[in-house]
Amino acid sequence: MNNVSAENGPDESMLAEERKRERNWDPAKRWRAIQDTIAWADLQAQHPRNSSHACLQAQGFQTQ
Amino acid sequence: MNVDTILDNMNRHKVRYLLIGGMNFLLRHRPILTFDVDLWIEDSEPNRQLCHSALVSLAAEWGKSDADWGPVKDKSSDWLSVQHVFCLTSPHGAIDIFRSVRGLASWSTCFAESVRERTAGAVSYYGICDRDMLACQRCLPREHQKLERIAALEQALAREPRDE
Repeated sequence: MNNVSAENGPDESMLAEERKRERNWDPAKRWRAIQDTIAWADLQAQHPRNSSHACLQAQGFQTQ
Repeated sequence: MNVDTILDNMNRHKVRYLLIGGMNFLLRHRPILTFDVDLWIEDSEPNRQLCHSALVSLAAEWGKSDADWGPVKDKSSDWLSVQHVFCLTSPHGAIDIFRSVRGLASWSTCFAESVRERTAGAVSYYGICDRDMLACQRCLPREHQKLERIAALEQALAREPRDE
């Protein structure tokens, strides 16, 4: 079996699968799902994205 | 919550899976931009059937081709054996199902090393460990490696107590 990458690597079968999904996903449903995922991801963080703590943490990482 | 719904369905159907990719990193380390849930399933016929049932209950859609695209409930029950990776849609978000993952040992070896965690919504999941996440990144060509992720994983592993 050919191994494939979970990290969006260059594997052709993965890229072809992703392109096929894009073509077949209703844009409005896709947009809704992405918004929901962003909201869910924000809930996972101890500090919300727009808090001063999160901004300072991100700034610190960028300047490392 | 959408990702919680996906994980909860996998759990309720007793699918043997491991969370991999960006969502696993996001939950265990720091926020990153990622929109799909990557699941590496144990590649056995009974487990593929359980996964099929979970995906049906999630109203997931997939097709071997554009012409064939549609709800997985309408697919023959062995559709998860026809290729190695599947990119599906669902009302709860994009789901990628992997039967094998480059750079890692067997599913059972990685499961033995996996970490059991909970999301903020208290849904439990098994995710591959930091060492395996790092192995996934390192086996990629340099231009596809995510350097911020590698740095965070190396820092986390450096903090881990070493076995004597």
